[in-house]
Amino acid sequence: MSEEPVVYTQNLQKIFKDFWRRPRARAVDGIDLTLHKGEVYGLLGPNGSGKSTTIKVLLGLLHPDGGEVKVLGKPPRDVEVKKRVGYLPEESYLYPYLDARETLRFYAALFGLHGAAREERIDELLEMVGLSHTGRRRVGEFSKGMARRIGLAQALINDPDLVILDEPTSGLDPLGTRQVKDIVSALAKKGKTVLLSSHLLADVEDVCERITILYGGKVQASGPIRELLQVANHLQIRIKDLDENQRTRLLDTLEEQLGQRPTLEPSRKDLESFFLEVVAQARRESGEGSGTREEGQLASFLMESAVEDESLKMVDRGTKL
Amino acid sequence: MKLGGSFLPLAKLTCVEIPRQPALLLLSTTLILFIGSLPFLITHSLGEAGKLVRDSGMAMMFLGSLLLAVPAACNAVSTEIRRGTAGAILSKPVSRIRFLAAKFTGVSMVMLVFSAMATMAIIMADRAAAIEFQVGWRYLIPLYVAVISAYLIASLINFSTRRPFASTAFWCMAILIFGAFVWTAVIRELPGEVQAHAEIDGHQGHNHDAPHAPEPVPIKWALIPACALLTLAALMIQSLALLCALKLGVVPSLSVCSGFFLVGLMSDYLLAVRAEDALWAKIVYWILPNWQHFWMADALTGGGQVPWIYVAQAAVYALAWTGGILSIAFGIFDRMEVC
Repeated sequence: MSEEPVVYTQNLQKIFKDFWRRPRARAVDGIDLTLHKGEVYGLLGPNGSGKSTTIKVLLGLLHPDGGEVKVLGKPPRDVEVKKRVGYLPEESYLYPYLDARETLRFYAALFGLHGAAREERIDELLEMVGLSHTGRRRVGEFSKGMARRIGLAQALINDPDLVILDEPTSGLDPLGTRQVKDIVSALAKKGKTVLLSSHLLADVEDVCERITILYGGKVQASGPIRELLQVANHLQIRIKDLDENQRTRLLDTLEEQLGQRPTLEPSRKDLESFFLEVVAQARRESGEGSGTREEGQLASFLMESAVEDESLKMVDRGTKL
Repeated sequence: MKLGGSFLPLAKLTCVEIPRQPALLLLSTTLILFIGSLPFLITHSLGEAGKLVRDSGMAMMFLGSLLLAVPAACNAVSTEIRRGTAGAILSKPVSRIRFLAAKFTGVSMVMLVFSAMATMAIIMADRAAAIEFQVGWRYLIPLYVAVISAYLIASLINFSTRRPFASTAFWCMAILIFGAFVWTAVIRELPGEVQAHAEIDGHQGHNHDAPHAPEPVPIKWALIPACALLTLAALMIQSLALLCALKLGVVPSLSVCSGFFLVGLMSDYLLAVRAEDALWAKIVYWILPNWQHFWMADALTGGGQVPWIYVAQAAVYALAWTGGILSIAFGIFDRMEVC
């Protein structure tokens, strides 16, 4: 790609120091990242591997001790850069005494959004994250999942070009998790760049095209997820169900041709798909659950202007939080 | 600094958030009620009631500013840095200087409201203590009614609309104390007061054609510039509290500010003479806030006045000191890492 990268770091270093300015911990040690427009990039690693520190350097909250950092072509502390960035922190750092609408109104005002346009955007986002019914309930009284939802809404209030999501599915139920992943996919299809940090591997696998795995502040593996997950010397054949006779004949043929007898196992759903099916069935039978609502649509200002892509339409239809 | 950007929303939010802390409401209510109770606590003081009430009321206001400014500044800055809210805001298009300036402005607005409430309470208490061996209830009852009504109204609003109780009570109290102040300035007597005084006069053998209430006690307007000086001192304490709050929590910040408060009160005694000879003493004397410039209670004794030109000069001193402290705070915060 010839375009300037949305996020670029080279040999990024971050050392935390003690009171006497002596090195205490090397949190980030020579990380190289390059994110392009419209890409969903995963930052993986166990706790303390340097994911959040890297993100905070990209946001200009922490100062790098070495290397080069550019976000949208500029230093990360540039206020103009921040106008184009949306950030969901690891914890939803919200003002506990504000309600959901006041929270979004405040964050919108920081981006200079006012008047009817702001209110319209807030309505859409609240609807999208399923919190339009919370009224005057203070966000300090929200459950963790609800706080993540309002956190996600504030991260998208400025229709950002780069969305940085730190553990976006933490605290969400599987339904909410699936819907956040749908939103991420929809954002990428609109041309937004998404940097997603998580230690929930299934979440990353579902939505990311490329990943970097960190450990001890260093890059341990990096590249397209398909390539990284490919198991060498193993092949998989998918086929619709066969009766017993067909199975035996197939195995005999393969044994005869290959000189080894393969095994046959029935396909299995993953647990997430199964859970979503069960909940969808229960909802059809008994109506609404408690907490958040499900009628929300992806906010229109986040939608692609010319939605011709059929797959995007499908994602939009499915994205209800 | 462009005010229309993120500055106003941040300052406004700080101004809205701080009174939502129940501690601020409790502290300000206690201080106002304490000022309001001074006239009957000091009734039998042999001719010094007025002076004692004024001095004690102003001292309460000064000390109250310290006690309120530190937790307010810490809540606006150190708590937000620790909780991560500051990081979340600084990831938006908000410069660090703008963030801190907005926080200072928001805290100042709340402290200004407290100072206004305290000033009105002091004036009402001063009028209530003007007549020796008597309590001028006509000046105190409206103050108590204002405070109690504020709590009742806030309870009703909280019950019906779920608006936060503490902040509603704080703002209602400010409005109602202003109303009480205007009431006592305009209304000459309380219902039933005329009859009560007629009976007192009758027992004392006075011969009057018609019952009357005692003449209203004139408002001591000189208290306003005196309290304005204390408000300026409070502004200086806030800037110091904000600087401390960048690195410290409430208790260490309160300790540092209390230290400056005490040393500043004694700076003339401790350093004025030494400053003539020693350079170090001159520098320390110059740097330390000199609260004596802002304490004009003695000047009010015997009908004394505080000239507004003096207030203006003190304001220049206070703003210069505050500006210096804020510049240091801006410099530190700009280089600070916010997690």
